[in-house]
Amino acid sequence: MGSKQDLLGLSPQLWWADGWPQSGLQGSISSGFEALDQQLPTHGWPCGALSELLSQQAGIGELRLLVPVLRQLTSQQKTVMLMNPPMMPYGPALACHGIDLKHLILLQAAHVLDRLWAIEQCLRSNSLGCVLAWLPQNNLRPEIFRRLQLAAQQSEGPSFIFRPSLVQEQVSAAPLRVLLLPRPRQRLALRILKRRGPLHSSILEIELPQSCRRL
Amino acid sequence: MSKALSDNLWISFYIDNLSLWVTQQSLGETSESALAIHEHGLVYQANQKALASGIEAGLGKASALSRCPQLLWIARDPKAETQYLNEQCWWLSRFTPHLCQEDGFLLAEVSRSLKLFGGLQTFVEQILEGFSNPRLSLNVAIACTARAAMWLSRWQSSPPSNPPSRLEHRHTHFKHILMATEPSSLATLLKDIDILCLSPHTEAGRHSQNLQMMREDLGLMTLKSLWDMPRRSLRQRLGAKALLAMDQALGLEADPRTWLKIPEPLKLHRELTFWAEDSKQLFKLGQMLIEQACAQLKARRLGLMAMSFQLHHRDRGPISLISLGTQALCDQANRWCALWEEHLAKTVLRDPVLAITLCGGFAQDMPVASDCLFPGPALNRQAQTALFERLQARLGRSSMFHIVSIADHRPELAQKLFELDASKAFVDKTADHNKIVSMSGHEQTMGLPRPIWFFDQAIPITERAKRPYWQGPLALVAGPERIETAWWEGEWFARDYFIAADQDHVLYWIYRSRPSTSEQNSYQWFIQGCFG
Repeated sequence: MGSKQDLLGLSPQLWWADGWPQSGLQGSISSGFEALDQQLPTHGWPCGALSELLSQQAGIGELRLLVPVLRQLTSQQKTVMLMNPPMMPYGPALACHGIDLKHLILLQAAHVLDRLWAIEQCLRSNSLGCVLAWLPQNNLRPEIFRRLQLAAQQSEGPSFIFRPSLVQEQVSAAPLRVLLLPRPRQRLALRILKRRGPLHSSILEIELPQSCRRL
Repeated sequence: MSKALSDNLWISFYIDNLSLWVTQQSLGETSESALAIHEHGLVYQANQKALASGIEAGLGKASALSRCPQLLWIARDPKAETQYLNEQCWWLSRFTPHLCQEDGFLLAEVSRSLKLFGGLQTFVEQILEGFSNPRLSLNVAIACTARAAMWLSRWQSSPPSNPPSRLEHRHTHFKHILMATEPSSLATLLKDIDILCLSPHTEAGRHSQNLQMMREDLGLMTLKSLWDMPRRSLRQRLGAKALLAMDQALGLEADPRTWLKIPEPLKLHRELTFWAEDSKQLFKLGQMLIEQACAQLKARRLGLMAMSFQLHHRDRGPISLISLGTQALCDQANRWCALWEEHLAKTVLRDPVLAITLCGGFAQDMPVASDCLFPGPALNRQAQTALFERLQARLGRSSMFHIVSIADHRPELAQKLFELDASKAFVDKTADHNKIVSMSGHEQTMGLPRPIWFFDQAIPITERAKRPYWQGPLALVAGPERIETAWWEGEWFARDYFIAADQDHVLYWIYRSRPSTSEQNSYQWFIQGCFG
């Protein structure tokens, strides 16, 4: 793609819609799933950008999807912040997945405004390895996500926002939006709704990481 | 002249409009009306607007008000002036520990600091930059004796007829500063100084009258003219102290001084000239105090972990207290200000506030920051601590937790939440536990896998067609695993755990409990977790 661009003398910020962009990406962290990495720009969850994970209900495996990332970051002694998870995360299970609990912090804020404020503060401070935030409200204004995306650009790690699948029709400033669909037998299906790259119409199926013992 | 003398280097600071400045600061930035500061009922200093309407130093109240009816007539506050100079001293103490204050002069002995700060010119420019305020009429002089520096800073230009009225605006630049760095140049520079500089050194009464008389009637305007007089008669007319002061200025007599000591703990007090009814009005003032406190802390390489603001109310009732705390020693004004802002936003004033006091906690030596070129994860810790403090200031201390996994076979007791204490966030929490805490995982070798999401209170669910039912029938996928407690472990239970899937393929951790051994057939399904 680069050569075509050079020939036409176009700005590197323009990219061909059937290829990956050549610039404007901050690096990434491997998702731990080969099939998913290949479908993401820069082959992993984008760093310094917001990633939206949409699911119809909690508990279909959305946290286990991120287990490889959490394992990698906590082993590098980077702090991971879980903000307002819908249920209480269970330490023994997380430890079983190889996540270092010392570097995991749970934050609970009662009001939506406080939550949004806290997310923005965390992203802006760029001192955390990764931020995972749950926003179950489906009536949040798109400006909020534009603001959060701007804040995320200041952080070096990946940032994940979990939202209900209802909002998939709404506009969002997040450069990556993935719809999660439940599948039987410890699998999870992903549909990439939006990414910095060509459209992706097929559904991706991955096998969720198991804890120390298989079922 | 001794060698020791030529080694010393004194910088003297004199602020012409100090009384005016201090008063204006307490009035707030908004007051732009004519203002006169009076001492013993006579105008001492006046601002530009008052001067323009004909107010001059030495006027009485009646004549001043007749010239400018809307004049603000405020008494001089020498205590506040000394306090202001003292605070400037703290600020200067980052450059040198040798500081003192005398008659409204600030003196700094800097000969030992010059090399560190890159020579005299850079040094003085750094200081002037810190003082820079266009409304402050600052005079600076440098000399090898303290008294010469003082006199040069105040009386350096052509002697004015009436010193307190010198309110003209003057910027100070290094090239305009009078310098007598060589002992030999002292006499040349001092010879044109007005003899009024001796007035603090003459006793009130005969001696000071003599000084006035010599200046006005005999025409002895400058120090040079005094030096030409016989010493004995001078001693008779002006007293021994005045002669001593002159000799000290020339370096002929010793001039011992005691350095200012910095009081502990830190305490800064400000009176408001208005009633603050909304807590937001206090932010700016608090910010000023914090900046001042942090400048002092920085100068002494100290840090605080706690500071508090006392709010003094109009009704003289109990003082409100706002306590700020950081997780690690901190001397950064912006970090304290962020906390101050969050705490103030939550505060409702019960009564208008008249004054605020900042009280510092126990100051400790700041740890030296790493100066490595490529900082590792340790550097992020500081930013992280600041972030956690800020989050906790707004959301409350019980908003952030650590999860700790404990080796216990009872699911409810296998995990514990600890409130986050950022200073100890990376210290293992195991110390206060008798049980071994499993942090690294992979220990669980038997039984079913544990769910990622856990319900503290298990939810009872019904059974339909012999299958547990939770938003639809559940299919048992794995199990059972029996978890039991013994009688010595408190509440007795026996549970058969299963993993169950619903129609959407969400996996749940459910159990069947038996209330007691006697009733074999009565059991209840509970849902306790979810494999997210």
